[in-house]
This record gives sequence, C-alpha cells and structure tokens, in this order.
Amino acid sequence: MTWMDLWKLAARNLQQRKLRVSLNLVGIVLGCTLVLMTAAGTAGVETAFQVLFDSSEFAREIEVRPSYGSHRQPPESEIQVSERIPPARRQRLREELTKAWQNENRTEFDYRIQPSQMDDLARIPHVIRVVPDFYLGCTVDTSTWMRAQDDLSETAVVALDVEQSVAERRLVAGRLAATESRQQDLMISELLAYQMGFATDAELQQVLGQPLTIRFRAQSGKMHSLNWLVSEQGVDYDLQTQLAGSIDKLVDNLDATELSEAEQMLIRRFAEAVLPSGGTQDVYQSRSFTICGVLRSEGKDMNLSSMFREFIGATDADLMIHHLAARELLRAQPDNTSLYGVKVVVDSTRNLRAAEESIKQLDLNAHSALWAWDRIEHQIQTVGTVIYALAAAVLLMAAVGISNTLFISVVQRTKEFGILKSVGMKDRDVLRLMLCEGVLLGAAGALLATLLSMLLAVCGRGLLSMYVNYRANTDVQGVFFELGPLSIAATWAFAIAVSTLASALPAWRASRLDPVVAMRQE
Amino acid sequence: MAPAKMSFPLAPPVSDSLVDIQSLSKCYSTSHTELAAVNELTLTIPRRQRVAIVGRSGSGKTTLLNLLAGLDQPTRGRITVNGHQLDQLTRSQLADYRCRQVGVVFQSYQLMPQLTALENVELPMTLAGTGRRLRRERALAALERVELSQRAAHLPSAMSGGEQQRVAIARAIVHQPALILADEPTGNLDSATAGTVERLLLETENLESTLILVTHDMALAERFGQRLITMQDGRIAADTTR
Repeated sequence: MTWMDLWKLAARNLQQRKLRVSLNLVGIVLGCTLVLMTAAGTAGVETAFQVLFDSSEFAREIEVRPSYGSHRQPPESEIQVSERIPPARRQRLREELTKAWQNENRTEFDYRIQPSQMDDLARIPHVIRVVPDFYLGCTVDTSTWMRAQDDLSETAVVALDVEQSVAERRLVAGRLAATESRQQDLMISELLAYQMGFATDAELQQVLGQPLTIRFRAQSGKMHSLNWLVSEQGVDYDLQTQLAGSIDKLVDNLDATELSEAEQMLIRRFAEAVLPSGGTQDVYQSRSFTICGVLRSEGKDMNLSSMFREFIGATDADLMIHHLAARELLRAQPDNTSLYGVKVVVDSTRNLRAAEESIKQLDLNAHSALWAWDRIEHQIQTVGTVIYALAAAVLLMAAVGISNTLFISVVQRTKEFGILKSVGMKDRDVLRLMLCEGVLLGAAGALLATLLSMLLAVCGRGLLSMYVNYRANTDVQGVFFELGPLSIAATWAFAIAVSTLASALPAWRASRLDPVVAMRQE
Repeated sequence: MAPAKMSFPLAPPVSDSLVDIQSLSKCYSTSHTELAAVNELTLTIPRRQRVAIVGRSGSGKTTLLNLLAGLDQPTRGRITVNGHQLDQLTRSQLADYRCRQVGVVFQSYQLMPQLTALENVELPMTLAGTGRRLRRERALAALERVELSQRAAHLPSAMSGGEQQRVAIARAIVHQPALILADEPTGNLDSATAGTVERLLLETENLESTLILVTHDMALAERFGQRLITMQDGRIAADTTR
C-alpha cells in the first residue's frame, strides 16, 4: 500500500469519527496553545522589558567608581590555604584573604578617579556622554538672600546631564544650560531659589539672569579624609583646611618639640598619609555665573526612568552646571582634585555589558542597572520554565487521553481491521495506518492551536500594551506575545510526536489482530 | 527453517490443480478437549472448476474456506494454492496472498463503512499498490459487471443488503484472483435479491478464476457447482462431479 493511499485512508477514518476526534483535539489544542502562549509570552515579556529598558535613559547609564584596590591581585603566598579542607571552604577563605590583602594594600589613588580618566572613558565604544559625578565644594554669597541660613554659604555644585529628557521635565523656570554658553550658565534648585526669596512664578522669572559668584575649593581625597576628625555630620571645609594647616605646621616644627625620634617619625608618616602632596593651602577659584534656569527636585514620577534613577541613587543639588562645563572645570583644578565617580552614558542598553567590561579593564568599578535586568531575565525564565512544565503536563495528559481513546477506537474498529486484513492489508500497513491517524491528529491539533494562539496573541498584545503603557508611562507596542517560527515548529513537532507515540501501542495491538477473530466482532 | 520469501506475481503453476490439500486438520482447543473442525482432509481442485461445499452447521466448511483464504493457519497437514504452500507462509506473505490470489465474498458483506462502493472495490488493488488510474478503471468495470456503476460514490450505509453483497462480489473479482471463495453469499438476502447475487456469481464462470461456494443450501449448491462436496464432522462425506 502506498503512503499516499495510507494518508488518504487515515484521513477518511478520522472524518468518520468526528466526535471522538474532536475530543482528542481538545486535549491537543489546549496543551499546544498553552505551550505556544508560554513561549510567546516568555519571549514577549522579555522583549517588552528590553524595550522598556532601552526606552529608559537612566538604564543606559553606568556609574563608574574608583577601584578601591579591588583590581590588585595578591601574591599566591598571601592567600595560600594549605590545610586539608573542603574545596568550597578553601575558596571562600582565599576570597576573604584576597579582600583583606587588598584592604591592607590600598593606595591613595585607589579611592578616586583622576579627571584625566574621563577621556579614557569617553573613548570606549558606544559611550556617548561622560558626566562627572561629584560635589564640588564651594561657597556663595548669601548676604542679600531673604531667607538666608547660616550653612547656606557652604554648598556644592554638581554636573547636570542636560541631554537627558528628565532634565527638561524638571524645569520650573527659564532654560537648561546651553552647550555654547555653558561657562556662564548656572541652574539652581527650586529650594535655593526659595531660600533666596523667589517662590512664585513671577519671582522665579526675576531670578533668571541674576549673577552668582561661586568660590570653588580644591578637592582632595586626602582632605576629605580629615573631615571625620572635624565634623560628626556633614562636610566642614573650613575646619578641614584649618586642621590640615595645623598638621602641616606641626610637621615643620617637630624638631622643636620634646617628642622622641620615633614619635616624630610617626607624626610625619601620619601627615604624609592624610595631607595632599600639593600642600595644605585651600585653593579658591572664583567664577561668576548667570542663573539661566530653576529646576525642581527629581521627585518620583511614575515612570521607568525615575525608577531607574532612584535605583542608581542619583541625588539632587542646589547648584548645577552643564556636564561639559563641569568636565572643563575639573581639568582646571589642581592635580590632587578628587573625583568620586563618573556617569557614563551608552547608546543602547544592549551595549551596557560590553561598556562595563571595557571600564573594568581601566581598573575602575562599573555599576549599572544591568544586574537588575539580569535578575528580571532570570525570573522571567524561571516562571517560563514552570509554565512550560505545566504545558508539557497538559500535553502528556492529552497524550494519555489520546492513547485511551485510540485504544477504545481499536476495540471498536476491530471488525474493520479484520476486513482490511481479509482483503490483504499487512500488519505493518495497519500499524502505519494507525500512526498516520496519530500524526494527522497531532498536526490538526497543532494547526488549530497555532491559529488560536495567534488570535490570543493579537488580543493579548493590545490589552497588555494598553495596561503596561498606562502603568509605566511608556509607549511600548505589540511586543508582549512573540509567536516565533521556532516555537511554532517546536510545538508542531511536540504535538505530532505526542499523538504519534500515543497511537503507537493501540496501533501495535491493531496490527497483531487475527483477521478471522476480528471479523467475528460486532 | 524459515520459509522462503514469496515473490509476486506467482511463479507459473506446476500442475493443473489450483488447490491441493493433503491431510489437513484444524483443531480448536478448549480447556478439556480438542475439537477438530477440519479433520485429516485431503482434496484437490483443478483450475477454473466451480465447486460447492455443503454441510450442516459445524461440519467444518467455513473453517476450510478460511484456511483456503489464508485467513487461518492449519494445525496439521499441507494446503497448497496456485503453487503456494500456505502453511509455510509468514503473516506478511499470507497478506500478499490474500491481496493478490484470493477474492472472498462473506455472508455479511464485510465492506468498509467509511469508503464508497468504488473505494471498497478498489481496496485489494489499493493494498497491492496498483496505480490509481488502473485500479479506478478496473473497479468501475467490476461495478459495471455487478450492475452497480450508478452507486459507485455511495457509502455502504446508503445501500441495501443485496447491493452491498454485489459490491462485495465486485471487490472479490476486481483483481482477477486465481481463487474466488464465497461463504453463504445469499444467507442474509431475500429470495429475489439472492437470485441476482447467484446469477452474478455464476457469471464469474467466464473469468479465469476457480470458484468455491460454501453453503448449507443444497438447492443453491446443486444449481451452482460443477462439483459438489459434502462435509461432515470436518471430513469429506461425499464428492460428486457432474
């Protein structure tokens, strides 16, 4: 019997038993639809997250921090654990010993980023902006302010990434600093404007164009380390400078003291450790700016950008300058100027990982929202795996049902098989006929499931897009269910395999029937 | 030793006998006894002979027919049809034999309910792998022969008992088998319809086939057979040739 005739006969047999075939199909369609929708949903949610992630400007940022010596590897002798202990414990101990060694061997430079390193960061592929993340200590003249407070003269300037859309949204009055006039443009916080006496919209308009002179301080990691000696809370630049000057004087006049040589050596070592090499003189640089805009604090908008902004710990400040102006300002500072961090912006979240790796190769630490993305992806995959398992269980149950109904079918069709054998059908043709029926059943189930899944995907896409866009204030369309050709092909293969395997045992039984006995059945 | 594989079409016959049965027995075992439905039976049937086998119920005539059709295997003895020793054939070779060498007309028609009359008639050729055009041509001719060409597209459920039996006859003759077996072909039919079926069976005389009819109807057997074999307790009680 040819394959063509077998397929035709199998199709006729299925047509003849519409009710039983329909019941079998329900099981296959349910299982396959569940598998397909799981695949589509998992892929879609992943893509949706990727799109949302990409749409967030802050998700493209990398916080670059000093290495704190973590890049330096100790000699093997320092971390050798020779005792016979379990390998996992040995590894843990080695890691702890490595950290201890790194702590003991940190240098001054491990705690800060050199302003010159910003150029290295800017050269990394896919990096589109390098924004210094710093609080540049300064004082401002508060004598004319209406609500001046004692500590307002001591403040700080931060760099604002004016190219981020969130900066535009924060504008309460005026404009953001422009690239062309970045050396003069200064943006102040809504709070500072209030403390200066400008609160209403009309008053805020008046503050625009006002000149403000800022006296910058040279920043030094060593100088900052003195802060804990002079102030329990906050930063007191004046006291730091005074203490540094006193220590400097003491070192100069150590010979005149009654201290022993060993004690003098100890003090010299202390001074060397805490005082900047450039001397203790506090360097001031006065610069005049013009207020061009008033910005509100970032707040917590119900959108993904602010979510990520909060996640990476961005902070507000009173005085803000253009990020390019900040870089130029830092370069103009003395060599011992410290930089605690740099924000690097890449062109796409897809390039975050590569950029992070490049930054680490510069012996700097890099942190981005990537770790959150990795966890989200892991969670999606975990949930997907569980649902896949459920779908497989449904299909297996369907397989048991199919096998059961096919067994009943064989019993009910015993006479038919007897007739077919009496006119010359071979055992193997009976077997193939039943398997063909299984394949057709599986294929029909997979086809219906594919159509149903496509319909559900279209409906699901629309509804989920609406919901997510409403909740996350985004504009993500049609990515929540992705019915890929691979998942469709895999589902077809699975459905056909399941229904064919379910047919195998009944098929074998049918093939072994004795034609005389079979024809006697009613 | 395993039997040699049979190749079709069959080798040319070595003798004039189509059927050669030697000391054939078919026994059915129950828990206490062994019942011999066919008992040490020896029989030879030449080619193109019309044979009627009669006997009471339980005389072994249907068992003999099943053995001749290759539907059942003997317990002892030898059965050779058209040069093929059936008791030596494998299941697959027996299926081939049924498909190409034999046509069987059963009392209860035994048509496939989901296939049309034409497809039922085509079935032996479909199973033999005959090309679609040729088998359609032959099946239509066979239906024409049994005067049912107008019912070719009908399912068995839409046909009367007589019509179904005529389709069964067409199926038995369509592939021009060497041996046509009919088991009580008119048993389920009224007398008028039975007459038509009888006529059609008699018309198979102008085919090359040998025809064996099993019936308990002595009158039919006498009208039909050139040779009349009477069976009793699994043995041949009488064998007359006219």
